Amino acid sequence: MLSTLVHIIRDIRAFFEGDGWAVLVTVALLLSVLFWTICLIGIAFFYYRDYRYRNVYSRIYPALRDFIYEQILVNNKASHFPVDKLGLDLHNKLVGNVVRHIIHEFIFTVGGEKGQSLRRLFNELGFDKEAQYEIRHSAANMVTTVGSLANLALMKVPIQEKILDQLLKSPQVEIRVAASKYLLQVEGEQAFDRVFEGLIGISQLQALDIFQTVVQGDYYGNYMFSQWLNVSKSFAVNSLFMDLMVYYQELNEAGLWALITANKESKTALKAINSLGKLLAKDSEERLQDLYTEESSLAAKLEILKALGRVGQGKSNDFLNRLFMDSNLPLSLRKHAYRSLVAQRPYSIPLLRKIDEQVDRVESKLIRYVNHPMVHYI
Amino acid sequence: MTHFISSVEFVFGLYCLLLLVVYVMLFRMSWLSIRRNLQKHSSRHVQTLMESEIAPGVSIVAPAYNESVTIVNNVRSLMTLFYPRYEVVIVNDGSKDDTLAKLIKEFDLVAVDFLVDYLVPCKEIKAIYKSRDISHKHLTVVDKINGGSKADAVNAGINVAAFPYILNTDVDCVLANDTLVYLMEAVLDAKERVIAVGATLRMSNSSYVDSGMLVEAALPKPILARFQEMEYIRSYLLGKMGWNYLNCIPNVSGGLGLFDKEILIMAGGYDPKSLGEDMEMVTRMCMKMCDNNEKYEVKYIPQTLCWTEGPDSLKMLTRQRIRWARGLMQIMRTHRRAFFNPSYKRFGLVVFPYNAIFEFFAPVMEILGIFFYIYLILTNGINWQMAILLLIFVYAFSVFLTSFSILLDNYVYKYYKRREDIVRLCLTVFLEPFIYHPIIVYSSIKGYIQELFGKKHAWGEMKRKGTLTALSPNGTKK
Repeated sequence: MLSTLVHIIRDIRAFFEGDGWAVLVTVALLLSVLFWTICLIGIAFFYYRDYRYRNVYSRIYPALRDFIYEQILVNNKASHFPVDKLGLDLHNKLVGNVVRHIIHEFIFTVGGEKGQSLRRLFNELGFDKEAQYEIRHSAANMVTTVGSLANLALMKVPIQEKILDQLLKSPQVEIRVAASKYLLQVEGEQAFDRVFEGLIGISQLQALDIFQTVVQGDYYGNYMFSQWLNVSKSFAVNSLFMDLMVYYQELNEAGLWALITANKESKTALKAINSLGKLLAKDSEERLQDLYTEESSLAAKLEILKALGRVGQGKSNDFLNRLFMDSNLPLSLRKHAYRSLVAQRPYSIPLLRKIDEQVDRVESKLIRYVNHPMVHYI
Repeated sequence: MTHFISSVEFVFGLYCLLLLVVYVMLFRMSWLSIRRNLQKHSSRHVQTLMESEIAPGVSIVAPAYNESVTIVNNVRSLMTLFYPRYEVVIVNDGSKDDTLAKLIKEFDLVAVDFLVDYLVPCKEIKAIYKSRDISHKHLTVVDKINGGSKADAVNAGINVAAFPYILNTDVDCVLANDTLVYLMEAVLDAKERVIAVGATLRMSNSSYVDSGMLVEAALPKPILARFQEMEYIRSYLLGKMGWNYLNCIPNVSGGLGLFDKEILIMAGGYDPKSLGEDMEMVTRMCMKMCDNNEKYEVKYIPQTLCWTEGPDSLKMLTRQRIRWARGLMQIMRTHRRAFFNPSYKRFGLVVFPYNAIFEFFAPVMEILGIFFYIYLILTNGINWQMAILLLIFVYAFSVFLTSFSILLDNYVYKYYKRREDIVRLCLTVFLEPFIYHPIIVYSSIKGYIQELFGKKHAWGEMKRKGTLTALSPNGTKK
């Protein structure tokens, strides 16, 4: 073994002592020229692909637009469209992509019954079957699977339970999220338990995406989103449920306090404090004051002050006044304390009058700032 | 003497070999990084963030100094971005012309009682203006005493900003409508806390704009601006996207960068004395995160979101590059404790050493290499066959790398719709090593010498030529 190694090292040395360097540099040079040629071919390919797409698009768009106007918007046809009249070769991948793109644009702008008709046209052109095929056979290709799921959700086409189950358990989070969104769009409230149970490893952006899907649906019931709050879950997941709780005004103080006490410095705790305020958790007012005295981070203190302002029961007037008058505190805390006092009107009116009489120059500037109608306060 | 020459040869050889390895790595990583970004992006519905009621807010901070000619259109352009929650903070940095007067007149501004919390240091803010017109409620104009640097003006904007994210840009930059959507997607899709995000910038010198909005991108006609366009494409798509793969991005450009305000303030804001304030800021933010033992990410996205007017005269270009070189030297000196310091993790072990060895020292090594070459020629100690072969290889490799960047650019999006623009850009690649690169090396060396001898830097004024070609209402070029 050792002798083989020594032999190899000797060979390498001999190679470089001879014409080795020249050979190596020549090979590197040839490789550079080869790769450069490949780059040029690649640039030409991308240019040509874009050029072809634009050409096909400009050819198909007028015909398809006129067809949609004539059949759906003028003749009010709801199904059995004469798609042969279009004369499109939908087996051609490029033509298929362009047609899909154009119909999507129409579906996003046309709603109601006409939108339903457009969905049927989409299905009659065979795109539903194509998407069904793709989710079964392109599981490894994330982009295709996600795109197909989005198409099927848009057209409200049912998917086999077994396939859907596989997609919901996919190792790729993008596919899981797309399958969840599909379920929410097609099944609505019935899918809540199934979707929320499997939400693991999602990013904040994906949480936001799911939130949008839920609120854009036709659900307006009294589902308990707070049952899914859990201290062991990630910020993105808990944040999604807190946003849904705020949107549907579902107050669960115990659940939110569990998140706050589990980790006082985390983003989750800050969001939970914020949610308490937005949900007008009146029973939490005193507890929030206690938390303020325990908390060390400025961000948490600011969130507590904002929440107290939103709850607005007048129980924290003295507390807020004390903070506002404390010139040793950071300006941002004093500003929010006063803002919250203003928000507690009418309970705080006598106190606000008293403050107006005794404040100094800096405080009066702060008051003017908070009360100024043109200073957008966020 | 022979031993000495061999040692010098070895040092240069090793340096070049390491640089070659780094470039080959970047070649691979940039491809992977861009592919991953495009895949992720195409798996999302773009409208989601645009329509979201719960999207995090962004404050756009844009300093303006003597921008009277273009200020109104530029502010209008910033006000038309697609994002549900944002504000525009224009900082009039003591302009001597009628920049402020034009803003007041055009946007119906009035001074308001705004109490500024000076969280990061800046020169005194004289007044803050808001618009009486409800359609401009997102606009805030800050009038301050000139601080002598962009950093000071941005700090003033940070002190006034209301939202948790700051987008730092120049008021003369033309931003894509969906800039904030792309940048915030990168923030919200990350595993760790994202402290800064950047995107590709390119030259706007010959592009077509209408009311401050880009209508069609075109390759700059002036040759210097065209070289810069090529340099930007290579630097962003090959360099920054490559390092993005390892979460080792050294800098987020001052032309377009989104920052986490909390960390920005925690790190002390921009340094008004620094000549490379954007890189210095990112360096300090990274070091602060390491000091606090917090995980973080600095991200880049490949899409071009910002078009800026590049210097098209040799004098202005060299002045800009001298400033950048001096800024880099200041950073190397000020933050030298990060050099191979394991407590700064990947920043101390990869980002900073790479910058020091392959960015800061590169022009020095090139100049020394040329002197060494001359010495070898004079002493007849050169193997001409090998030397010529090596030169051809280095040239071919540089042409390949830049062409690869253009390929990546076309892979991301076809910004140039005209075939001639792509062909011209591909041809410019061949000239760069002979014309543009020597200018950059000269400017860097001059910058280092000026910094070493403590010469006072004169900022000078970047004269806006308004080279952005406007379109008339019927779409024809004016």
